[in-house]
Amino acid sequence: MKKLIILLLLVILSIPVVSAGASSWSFGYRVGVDGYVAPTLGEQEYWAISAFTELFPQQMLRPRLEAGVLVSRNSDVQMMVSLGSGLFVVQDHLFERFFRRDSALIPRIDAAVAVSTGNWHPSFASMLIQPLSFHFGDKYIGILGVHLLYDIVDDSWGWGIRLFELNHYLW
Amino acid sequence: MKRTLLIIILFTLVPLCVFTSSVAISIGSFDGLQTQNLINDGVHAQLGTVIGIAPRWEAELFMATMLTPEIGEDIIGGAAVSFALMGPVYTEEEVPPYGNTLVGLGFLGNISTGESWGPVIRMTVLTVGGPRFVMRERGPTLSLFYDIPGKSVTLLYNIFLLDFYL
Repeated sequence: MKKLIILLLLVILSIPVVSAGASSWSFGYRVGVDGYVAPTLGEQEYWAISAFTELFPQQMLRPRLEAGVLVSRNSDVQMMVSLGSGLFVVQDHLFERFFRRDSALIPRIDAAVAVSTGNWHPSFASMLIQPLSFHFGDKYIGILGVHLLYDIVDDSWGWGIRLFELNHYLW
Repeated sequence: MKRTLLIIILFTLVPLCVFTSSVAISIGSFDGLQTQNLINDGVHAQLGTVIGIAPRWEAELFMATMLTPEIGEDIIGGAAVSFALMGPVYTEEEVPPYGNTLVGLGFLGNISTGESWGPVIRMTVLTVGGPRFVMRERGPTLSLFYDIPGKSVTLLYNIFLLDFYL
């Protein structure tokens, strides 16, 4: 599992190098603030930090491959891999007047698997649903996303909240 | 105690509203280190109002509550006054700086238990935007909180706060 995650991370990092000639944004980082209700995870605030690459950068709705870590003040570090995409695009949305830049509302969904770095066994799988994900060209901001979570260690279901996230394209 | 806390908050901010030049709704995170008396472990969201009361001064009224693991378990209420170090924020006479740093004083407490309350000294390391730019991003905001009943000092922090000017 450890080798698989490292390999996936290398693939994510190499795609933008190979496709350096592409005109659209395709690679960046994502930082989110999470809270979970699941036996394997603590009650404290978690920070999700990852690198992502988008497979078809010329399209508005593009699949995204992502790898990173989930860290908190006092629990194991979890490594995460995920696959996700925007679902549809709303150009003239209700929140437009609150932003200084042109924006589009692009609700998105991401499926992820987490592996504990303590024993390198899968710890949980989650589906992150984000109705409020705003696209600004070179970055996304997501507010109040919901995790539906399956705790693999405890064989039970849980949930969580992504309070806020920032996705910033680097190139 | 709860009543006292609410009265202090209301009496601090309501008179300031008379001199309001700009109002924003703010949303963000709320957490801290060694906060057993004030909040339980979990993810907390903060919702508040920011009011410009002078070119460099602003007042803030906020509430924070737990989202996970128990929605609404902790309810924190507070008020603060902040000063912009890098230049005026609430001005029509000049273009305000896009980035700024805020320092301030405030008072907060746990409204649901009434067992933890006291003054805070705050610093927002970086703000980006402002009323002239429709919205503002703040982060991180670090607060040193003195818990009067618990006789302890706690570091509180907002990783991010977003202000949407009305």
